[in-house]
Amino acid sequence: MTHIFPVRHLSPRAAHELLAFCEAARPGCVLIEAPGDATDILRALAAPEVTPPAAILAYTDETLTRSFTLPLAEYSPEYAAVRFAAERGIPMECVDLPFSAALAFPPPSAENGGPSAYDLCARAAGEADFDTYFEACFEHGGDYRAAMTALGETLRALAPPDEYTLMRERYMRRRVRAAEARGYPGIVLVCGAWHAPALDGGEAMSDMEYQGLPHVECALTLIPGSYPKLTGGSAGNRSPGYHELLWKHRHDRSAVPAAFLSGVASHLREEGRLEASAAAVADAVTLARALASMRGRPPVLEDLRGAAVTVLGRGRREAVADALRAMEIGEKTGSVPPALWRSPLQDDFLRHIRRLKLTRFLTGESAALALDLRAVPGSEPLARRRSAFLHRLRALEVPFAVPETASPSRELWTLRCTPETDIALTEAVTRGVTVEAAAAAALEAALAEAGRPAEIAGIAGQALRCDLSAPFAAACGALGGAPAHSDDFTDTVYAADALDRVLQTAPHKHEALTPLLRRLCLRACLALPAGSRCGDARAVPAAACVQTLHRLYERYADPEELDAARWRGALGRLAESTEANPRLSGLAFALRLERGGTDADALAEEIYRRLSPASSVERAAGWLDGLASRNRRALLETPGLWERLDDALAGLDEDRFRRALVPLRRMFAGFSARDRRDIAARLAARWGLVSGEAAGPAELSREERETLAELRELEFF
Amino acid sequence: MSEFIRLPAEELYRAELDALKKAETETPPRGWRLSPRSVLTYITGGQAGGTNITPKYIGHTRLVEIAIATLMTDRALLLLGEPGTAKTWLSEHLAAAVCGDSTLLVQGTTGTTEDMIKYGWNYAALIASGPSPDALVKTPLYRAMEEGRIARFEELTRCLPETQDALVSLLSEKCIAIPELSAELRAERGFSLIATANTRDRGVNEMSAALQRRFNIVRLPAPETPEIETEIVTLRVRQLKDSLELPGEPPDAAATAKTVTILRELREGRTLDGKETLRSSSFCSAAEAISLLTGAMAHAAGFGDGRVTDAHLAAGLTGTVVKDPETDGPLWQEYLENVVRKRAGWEGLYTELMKP
Ligand SMILES: Nc1ncnc2c1ncn2[C@@H]1O[C@H](COP(=O)(O)OP(=O)(O)OP(=O)(O)O)[C@@H](O)[C@H]1O
Ligand SMILES: [Mg+2]
Repeated sequence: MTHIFPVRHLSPRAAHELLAFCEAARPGCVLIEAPGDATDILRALAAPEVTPPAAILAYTDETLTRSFTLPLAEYSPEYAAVRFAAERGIPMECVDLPFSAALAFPPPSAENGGPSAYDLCARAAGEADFDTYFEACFEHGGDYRAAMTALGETLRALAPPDEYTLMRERYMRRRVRAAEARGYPGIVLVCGAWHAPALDGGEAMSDMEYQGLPHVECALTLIPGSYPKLTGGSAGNRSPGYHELLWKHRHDRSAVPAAFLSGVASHLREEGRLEASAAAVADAVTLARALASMRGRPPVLEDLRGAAVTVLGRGRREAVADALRAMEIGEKTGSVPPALWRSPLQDDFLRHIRRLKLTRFLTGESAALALDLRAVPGSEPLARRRSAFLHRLRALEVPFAVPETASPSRELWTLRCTPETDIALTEAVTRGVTVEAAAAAALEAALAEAGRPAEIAGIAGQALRCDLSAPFAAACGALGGAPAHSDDFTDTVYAADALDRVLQTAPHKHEALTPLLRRLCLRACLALPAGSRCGDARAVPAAACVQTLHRLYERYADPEELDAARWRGALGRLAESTEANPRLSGLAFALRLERGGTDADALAEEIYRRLSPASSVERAAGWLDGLASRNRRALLETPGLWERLDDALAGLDEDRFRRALVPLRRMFAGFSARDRRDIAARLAARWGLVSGEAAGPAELSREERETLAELRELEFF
Repeated sequence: MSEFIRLPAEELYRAELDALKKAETETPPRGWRLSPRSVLTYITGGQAGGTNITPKYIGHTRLVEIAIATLMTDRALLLLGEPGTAKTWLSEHLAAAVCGDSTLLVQGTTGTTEDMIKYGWNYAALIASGPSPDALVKTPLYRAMEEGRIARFEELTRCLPETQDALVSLLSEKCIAIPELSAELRAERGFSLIATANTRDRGVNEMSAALQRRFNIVRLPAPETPEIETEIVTLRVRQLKDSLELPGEPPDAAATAKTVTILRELREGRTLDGKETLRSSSFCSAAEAISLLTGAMAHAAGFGDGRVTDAHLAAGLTGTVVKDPETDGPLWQEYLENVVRKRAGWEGLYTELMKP
C-alpha cells in the first residue's frame, strides 16, 4: 500500500505532518521526490556530523557548466523523511529523474511573462503572493493532507503540466512500482503537491523510454548551505529564519507573532534603538492580529512585517530592515564534513587551467607569464582570455597570480599554485559555482560597498579587465546615478578621470565608456559653479580637477554629445566670478588666455581689478597663484603684468604685505630659476638697479638683514 | 453643483457610503459605521451591491490596510510623508468611512494652543456665571471623544512641543480632565485620532518620543508605478476640473505622460525603461504633477486655444523641479541634456525648456 504524502518543499508544517503521519502509518520504506542518483547523498544528510542547511549540488563538466542545487533545511519534509528512515532503519530511496538525465534537458525556460499558476492561486484568495497565500491557508492549521491534495489539483488545472513534467512523472511511477514490487509492508511517497494527483495510478515509463533517457556525466556533492543562500533560486525559501521559528513552534503556532516581534525588537535594541520596548512589541502584536482579522485568518509573516515597520520602525522600513532580515533570514550556516564534499569551483579552476594551457604553473613553483594583449587579426586571443581569467581569480582573492607590470598591450604576471589556492577556491564556492560567476558576484558585492565615484570607476575598470559584463554595467549604472552632494565637482572629475584611464588601457571598450564619460564631464561642468565657491583648502584639489576636466573636454567634446561651448562658457563665468575661490578664477583666466578666449589687454585689466586695494591681499595672491599655474612663459611675456604687480605690492602696508608673502612665495616657487631671474631683471630695470642685484641679496645693511631674517621665518626665500 | 467650493467627503460620496452600509455582511466594530473590510473597499475602490465604488487612494493597498487596522486598536494613526502624498486626502476619507464625519479637524500651526486641543471657555459666560458646562467651548477633539468619532489633526509637527504634549496624556488616558468643573470626559468607543505630518517641513524627530509612542506611524510613499501615477494624475485633474469648473480641455495623454515621466524619473533617479540611472532631484510628487497640469490647463484656456501644449508644460516644469537652484539647477540641466534632448517626440518640449 503506497501512501502519497503531498508536501511543499521547505514547509515546516509539511515536515511536521509528515512525521506524524509516518509515526502512525509505520511504513516499511520511504520514497522521496528527489533525483534518483541523489539517494546516497541524501542518506549521508542524516549523518550526525551533518547540520542543515545543506544543498545537493549537481554539475556537469562541460564548457558551459550547468548546475542544479537542491537546498534542504532542518524543516524540509525531505530531511524529516530521511531522518525518519534512518532512525527506523528502513530503506529510503529517491525516485525522481536522476540529475544525469535532467541536466541533459534544456533548463526550464523563464516564465513566459504571464502570472504563474501559483500567482493565480494567491490572487484568487486575495493574497499578495504565493508565500503569503500558502502560509495563510496551509501553514497554520486545517486538514493538511486533504487541503494539499486539493491544492495540487487546483494548480494542475490552472497550468497543465508540460511534456517534461509528464515524462518525469512516468519515471517516478516506474520507480514507485518497482519499490512496490519489492513487497514492503507499506510505502510513504513524499512528493510535491503538484505531482501528488498524478502519481496515484497512471502509466509508468516503458522500458523503451527508460532506456532512451539521455545521460550526461555529472558530479554530485553535498555542500554546506546557509540561510542567506537558501533565499536564492527558484527552489529556495525567502524567509528561512522565520520558517525555522515556525518549525520551533510547530506544536503551538499562536506564540509565533510575539516570538518573532520580540526577536525583531531585541535586534533593534542591540542596534541601540531602545524605543523597541516590550510595550511596543505588545502593540505590534495587537496590530498584526488586527491586520490578520481583516482577512479572517491567523497572522502571517506579511502581517508581522507590517506591524514591525509601523510600530517598531515608526513607519520606516529601513529602520527595521536589518532586524527583520536577521529574523526572517538569519545567518545560520550548515556544516558538512569535508570528506563528504568537493568544490565545483576547484573543478572549474582546473578546467580553465587546462583550456588556457596553464598546467605548467601548477607545480607549486613561482613562474613568470608575459601576456601580449595586442589584437592579432585572425588568431584566437589566448592572451586576453588568460588575462581575464587571472584577473577574475584576483577579484575572488584566490592567491594564484600576482600582476607585476601592466600596460594596455602587455601584462607581466607571477603565477604560483599553493595549498592556499585550493582553500580559497573551496571557500569561494559560496559566491558561485564557476570562477566566472563567483568573480562577478565578488565584484558586485564590492560595488555595493563602494561609495565614492572614483571607487566605483575603479570597479568598472576591474570588471573590464575580468571581462565581466554584468558588474561592468552595474558599475556604469552606479556612476550614472551617484547621488548629488557637496563634493560633486571634484568627485565627478575623479570618476571621469578614473574612467578615462580605464579607457586608455581598454580602447576596445570605447563604445561603452565614452558616452558615460561624456555624461560625467557634463555633470562636472554643471557642478563647477557650486564647486568653485569653496575655501582655500578645497581650492587646491578643485584646481587640479579644473585642469583635468579641461583636458577631458579637449579629448571628448563632440558637437552632438558634449558641447565644448558649454565648457568655454563655464570657464568664462568662473574667470569673471567674484564669488568663486580666486585661485580657481585665476586658473580659469589662464586657461582662457591659452585658448585665445581672451587677450593681454583683458589680462591687464583683470590684473588691475583683482589686485586693486579694494580686494583682500589673500584673494589677490590666490588669484595670481591660480593664474600662474598654467603657461608661465606666456605670463612672463605679458606686457605690464609685473609692473602692475609691483605697483600693487608697493601700495601695501606692512601688515598686508606680510600676509601676501606666503601665497606669493608659493606662486614664485612654480617658476624655474631662470624665469625668476628674468622677472627679477625686468623689475630691476624698473627700479633702476643693476640686474643681478634684485635677484639676490648683495651687501645688506644691518637693518636689511634683520628684515630678511624675519622674512625667512615667513619662508619667503 | 453645490455652492460650496468643496464639500466634505461624507457628503460628496454619500451614495457610495450608503451603498456600502447596505451591502454590509459583517458587524462593524463598536463605534464604527462600516466594517473594516468595507472601509477598505471605500478607500481602494470596488463594488457594493451593484454600486460602483470609486477608488480614492490609489496604490499601496497594504498601507491602507495597516491604517485601518490601526484604527481598530487603541492606538492613534499618524500619516507621514513627503508633500503631496495624499496624507490629508486619505485622512479625510478614512474618517468619513469609519465614522461618517471627516470634519472634526484641528489644524496644527505654531499658534495652536492647548485650549484648541482640549477645551476652552466662553469668557463672557465664564465671567457672568462662573465655570459651568455651558461656558465650556468644546474643541473638535473634545467632540470626537464625546461622540465616539474620529478626530483629525493636520500638520501635527508644526505645533510647538508644549502643545504636542497636551496630546500625550489625552491619547494615553483617552480622557480629558476638567478640573474647573471637577469633571472629566471619557472617550466613547469609536474615538480615535488621525494625524498627518509632512516630512519635508519639520521632521518627525521634532515630535517628542512620548508622543511618537502613542501613534502607529504609516509613511505614505510616492505611487509605485508610472501607470498608477498616471492614473492618479489623470483622475484627479479631471475631478478638479469638474469640481472647480475650470475652463479649457483636460491635458491630453501625451502631456500627462511627459509631466509624470519627468517628475517621476527625477524622483526615482532612473529613466522609466530602467536603462539609464540619473541623479534624483528634490521630491516631486504626484500632487505637483496634478497642480502643474491644472495650472497649464488654466493657462491654455486663458492664453491659448484651450489645448495644453509643450510651451504650457515648460512654463511650469522648471519651477516645479528646481526648488533649490544650487543643487537642483545642475541636475535639471543634466537631465535636459541627457534625457529630454534625446527622447523621440520630445524635441518641442526641449526647445521650449531651453528658451531663456
Ligand atoms: N496615491 C494617491 N491616490 C490618490 N490621490 C493621490 C495619491 N497621491 C496623491 N494624490 C493626490 O494628491 C493630491 C494632494 O494630496 P494631499 O493634499 O492630501 O497631500 P498631503 O500629503 O497632505 O500634502 P502636504 O504634505 O502638502 O499637506 C490630492 O489631490 C490627492 O488626490
Ligand atoms: Mg496635507
